[in-house]
Amino acid sequence: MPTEDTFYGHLQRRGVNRRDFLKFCTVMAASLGLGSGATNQIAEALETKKRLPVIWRHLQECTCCTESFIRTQHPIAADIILNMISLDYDETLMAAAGHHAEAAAQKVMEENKGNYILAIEGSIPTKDDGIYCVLAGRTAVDILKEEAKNAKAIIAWGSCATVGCVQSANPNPTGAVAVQDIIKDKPIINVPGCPPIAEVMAGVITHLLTFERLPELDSQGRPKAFYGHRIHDKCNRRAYFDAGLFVESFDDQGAKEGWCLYKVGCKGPNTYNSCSNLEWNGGLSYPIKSGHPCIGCSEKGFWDNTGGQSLYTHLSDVPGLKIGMNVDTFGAAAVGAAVAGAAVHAGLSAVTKKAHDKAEAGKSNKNSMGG
Amino acid sequence: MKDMNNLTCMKTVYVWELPVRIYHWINALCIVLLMATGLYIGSPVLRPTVVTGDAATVFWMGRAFMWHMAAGYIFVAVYLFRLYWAFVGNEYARSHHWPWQKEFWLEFFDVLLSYLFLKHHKEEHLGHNPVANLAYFGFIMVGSVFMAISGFAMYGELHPNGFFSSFSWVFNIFGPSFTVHMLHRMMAWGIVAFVVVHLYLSLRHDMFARNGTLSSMVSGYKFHCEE
Ligand code: SF4
Ligand code: SF4
Repeated sequence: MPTEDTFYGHLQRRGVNRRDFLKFCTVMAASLGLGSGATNQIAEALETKKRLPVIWRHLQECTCCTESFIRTQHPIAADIILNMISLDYDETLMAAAGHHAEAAAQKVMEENKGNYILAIEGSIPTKDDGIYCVLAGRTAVDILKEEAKNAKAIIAWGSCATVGCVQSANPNPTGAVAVQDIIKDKPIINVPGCPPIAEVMAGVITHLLTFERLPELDSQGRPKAFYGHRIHDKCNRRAYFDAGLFVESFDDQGAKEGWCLYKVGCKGPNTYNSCSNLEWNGGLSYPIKSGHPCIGCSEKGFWDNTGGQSLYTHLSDVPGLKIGMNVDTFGAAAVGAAVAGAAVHAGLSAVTKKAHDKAEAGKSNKNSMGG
Repeated sequence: MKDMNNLTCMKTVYVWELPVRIYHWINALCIVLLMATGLYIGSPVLRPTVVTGDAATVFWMGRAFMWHMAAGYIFVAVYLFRLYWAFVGNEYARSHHWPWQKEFWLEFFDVLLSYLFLKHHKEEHLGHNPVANLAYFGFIMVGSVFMAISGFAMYGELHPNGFFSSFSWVFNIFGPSFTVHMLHRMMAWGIVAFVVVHLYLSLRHDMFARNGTLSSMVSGYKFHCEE
């Protein structure tokens, strides 16, 4: 397959008709939050532009990002990963192995200097010289640094690559860090989630190919189109939240009625992602719709938020004080201590004042006697 | 401390001007309202008695949010006014020494030792004494600002394209949304602890120094006692 090929040309050969192709372009334009005019722009780009050279690295991870992507419901979206981008290196999906594989990566870097996209899945262990993740005899840190050097941009797929995910959870035995902690001089698109939604991943790539620049990012480097809102803001249970009707346990009447899952630990109010918007599996459902609270998988430190407590609790431990103490318990203890301190102080004040008054009285008595 | 029997406390001093007193009580009311609604928002233990499950008939959390935001706005408004008054008010309307100055700490330890019964404190502070000043600095100056800024940042989350989204830098400094929520809640508890100590010390001053500390927040006057 020649790398000069266009995505549309490839689709035609696969027998995808024009109508389906345009449908796909419309879906992408809509999910990227672009106007209807963008549909044509996307279609044109896919028809005429050369496919993007991509090196897709799997570092310290479980590969759930790729699993999510290749299970997308949209037949054309599924094709993207294999075709719209020219995936020259991807351990999971390429046929080559061993030396051939490494040679392929080398070739992309040389032939597309400054033009290829580096997609990283997984975090990077840094402890003990990074030996906790080694590919073809080289550590993940080495590989990342080398391949990032001449990349046009980096896509950090999933929570591992954007914030460290479970590997960096306390006590972080391998010293796992995110891509943005190591690479400082390249544009990075952070696409968090454990894993990210397939359509979100497709959208990011479509945007890159169509407009040849990064999608609009927020202050944490995430595409605004997909991470601009909290789960809570589009949640189908939101009316129950506002009403104050909460599920207290998973088998109560509220759970059957579909009330809000806030009190059983829902992190939707703190989580930026598209789940309540695009939903999963081709818009079929998402955790909250299915009755499970959001665990906040696209947020930094979501494993440690409840510090030692169950994910199904809402209030966290005291930040920085990893002793599993609930904020309210801590606060009530502080107020209790203040009350107790005041009471003790009041007692002591009364005693010392009495003593002082007595001494003063004795003094004045003596004075008057002497006088 | 003075010999109470020989005190003459006839001279009255106008310490708290009317705007300061108004600020104090509005602020106190806001703190009560903010704490009550905030406690509910973070941990909604009260529940509507309706079990029909119709979300359209109740609006508890929504109301709590509304009152929390409203009280928050007022809290910030009177705070800004008080800040202005520190410049134009009388000499008791502002701090004269700050925690980064040496004089502050000299006075501070003097008063602290007297609170710890290790020393009899001579000087009289008609305004705030330095220990009170440090508490005000920590909870009212730094604490309230933190509450306001983190509060606005979280408010901005509701309207990602609105004005308050300009506070999103908070999340880059203090951590993700969840952490900011918890810090906001912790500081709230800190302020409650401050209120407890504040109430106790005001009461104590009123009883021991007999200078009218308590009533001064209504009348504005304190007694200046002389032997
Ligand atoms: S980001 Fe988290 S989720 Fe994606 S591969 Fe990694 S572990 Fe799995
Ligand atoms: S279930 Fe979660 S995301 Fe949905 S309204 Fe309740 S708290 Fe918000």
